[in-house]
Amino acid sequence: MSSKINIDQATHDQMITFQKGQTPTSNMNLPAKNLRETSLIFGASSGVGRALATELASQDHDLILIAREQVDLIANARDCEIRFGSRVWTFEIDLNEAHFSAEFHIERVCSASPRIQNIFICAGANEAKDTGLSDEQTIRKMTEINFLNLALFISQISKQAARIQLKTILVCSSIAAHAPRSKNIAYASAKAALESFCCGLRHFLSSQNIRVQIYVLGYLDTGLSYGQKLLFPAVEPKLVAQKMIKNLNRDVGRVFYPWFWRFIIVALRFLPWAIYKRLKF
Amino acid sequence: MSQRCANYVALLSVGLKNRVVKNEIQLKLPILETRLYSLTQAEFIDAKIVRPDRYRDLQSVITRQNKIIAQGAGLSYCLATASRGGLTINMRAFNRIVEFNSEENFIVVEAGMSIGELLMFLLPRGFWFSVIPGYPKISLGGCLAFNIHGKSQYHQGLFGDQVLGFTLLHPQKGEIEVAQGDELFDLSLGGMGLTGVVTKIKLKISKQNFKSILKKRIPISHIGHAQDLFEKSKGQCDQMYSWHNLNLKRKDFGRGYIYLETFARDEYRSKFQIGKLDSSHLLNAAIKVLGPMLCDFINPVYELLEKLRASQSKQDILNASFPLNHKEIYFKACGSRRFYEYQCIVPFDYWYIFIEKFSDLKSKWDVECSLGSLKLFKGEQKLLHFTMSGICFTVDILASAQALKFLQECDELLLNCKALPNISKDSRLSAEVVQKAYLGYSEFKSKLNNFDEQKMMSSSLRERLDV
Repeated sequence: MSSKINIDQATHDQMITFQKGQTPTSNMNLPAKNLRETSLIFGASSGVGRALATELASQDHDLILIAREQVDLIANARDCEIRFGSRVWTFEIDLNEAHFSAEFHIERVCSASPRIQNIFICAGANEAKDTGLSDEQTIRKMTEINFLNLALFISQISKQAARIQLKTILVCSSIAAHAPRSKNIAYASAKAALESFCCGLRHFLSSQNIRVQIYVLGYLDTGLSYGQKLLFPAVEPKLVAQKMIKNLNRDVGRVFYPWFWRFIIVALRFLPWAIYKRLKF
Repeated sequence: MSQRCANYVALLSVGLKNRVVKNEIQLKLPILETRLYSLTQAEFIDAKIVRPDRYRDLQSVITRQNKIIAQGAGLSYCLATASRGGLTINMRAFNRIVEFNSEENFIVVEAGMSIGELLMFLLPRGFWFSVIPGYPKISLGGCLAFNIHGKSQYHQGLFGDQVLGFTLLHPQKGEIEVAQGDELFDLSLGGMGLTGVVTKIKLKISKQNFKSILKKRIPISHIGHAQDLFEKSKGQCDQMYSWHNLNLKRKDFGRGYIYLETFARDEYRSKFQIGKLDSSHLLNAAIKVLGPMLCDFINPVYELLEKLRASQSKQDILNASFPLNHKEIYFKACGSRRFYEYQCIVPFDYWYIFIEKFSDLKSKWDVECSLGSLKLFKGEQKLLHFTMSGICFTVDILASAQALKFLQECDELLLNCKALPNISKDSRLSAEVVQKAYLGYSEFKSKLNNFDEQKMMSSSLRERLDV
């Protein structure tokens, strides 16, 4: 169930700017505003999205932050502005909304900033109900949030690549997409579809010199993984964000993070079915 | 506060208030079930911890649980952040800056932000926050919950003196904005987190372009002489404190150093990094084996190292502000043997008697002290705030069968000398001693129970102190 905050439309699309007496002195060495890159982060309220916002702001990027929770978005935006002097726009978009219109949302986003050089897709959701034979509602919801609406958004915004001077599209996927199991079936399928979509898009956009990067992420140290008994250590979102920014101008294609997951996935692929079906993970 | 900022704060509040609807939101976050230890390792409890990283999740956790308590860095000397059957809410993810006003000299931060992060933000901008605990990882929410004192309470006052207001989330009462002068303000400062989960704190900051600290070290042959030296030096420095070797006997008892520090604007750059108390398992295992042996050498090694250093030195302000940073091995080594921290403010009139009797008790029970330290305090008692005029005496005692008996006798000494024990430091302090020592105990208890009738904010410390 989406949980939107009842606030005026006028406050939905916010650009947060400093007031007199609020500009940090560190701003003095920042590049001129029109030379700074603008990065859009879809799913910026927590986890990797939030870490990316902080890291990008620290590297003088202006930010467009999107998530379904305006409360956390504003808190993140304020933090980035106050600490690093970035210009930050926030948009409340729910991937689970009934009539999701990518065109409408992109128009809103592009009206805030004419240039969006980097797009980071970190949004996604999974559900405890998504185990074994899920109901139709869960499968639809998982598909819409983790694949369909994101693919529509990426596809629509890519059509405006030249106008917005797009350089990089980065999509976060999950190891679940590479090692299907009885848990999170719909989630994993949707993520696999998103990866497949992005691989195709990478091929298509290569002629326009637009990089499409796919990060297949292992366990992350977030509120959702806290306390869970995991087979491998969870990585801090900050480290993931730093890795992504380091690779931002490289055509890296698909990246497994942490690196050892690549080998684990390969090992799982070659595992005989007789053994694989007995695994509990 | 500018209109725009007011809008944002209002927007945040609207978002939170909308969510104070009990049982409507499912708790989706996983819960860690673990054994939680106090920093001294002397107390432990099997706790359930959850770590939300969004306001929606925080709200759902708070409204769906019957017994909760917030946790900041998890570095309390006593079990203030867990209770039997309750849920501990780790606030580490709420560490953002909400507002910074350089004209009106205040900053609003989320309660999970550490004091180290705050100073790292303020210092390059020419601002300063004056009440600083010894370790940079300590959260501002934790500082508020215990109304902590910094290196020099006499000069800087308590943490609460720098607080302009804060936001509380209570399971039944929802979100409450608390300002100076409100009854809840005094109850929450030093209220051990029992009035609700602090989400945001508005702090006073000052325009001070401090870059370094000039540190002067004065040797002292006996701890008893410290009072005169403190009295003489208090006007000549910005902060002062001392270190003492309490394992020595008779005329050498508490031989040590008094440190006088003055803030300076001279540039002194050195690398600052927040240390890690929760370091690798390998190091922890090694210290578990070697730690007990290391404890015996702490005092002589520290004294020797200090002797080798120049008596006057200049240090980078961040490194000098956190004397315990990168000295985590002390807590690990002493923790491997378990220890008790005993801290009390002794009125000036009783100082000599107190220290003489303490020395006698120490000889009688033959306990080992790994740390002794003094600070000068001024102020008046209020509720359970750790403040009054006198000398703040701190001692770390390695755990043993004698140590507990020794500390029980110290409690009697403390009450006879009209001294005030620090609730936040002592993991074995009884309700009886607290009730006798704190004039505001009954007032605090009745006010707290009026506010939180169903005792929804619950910790092991609350149970022990019977409040």
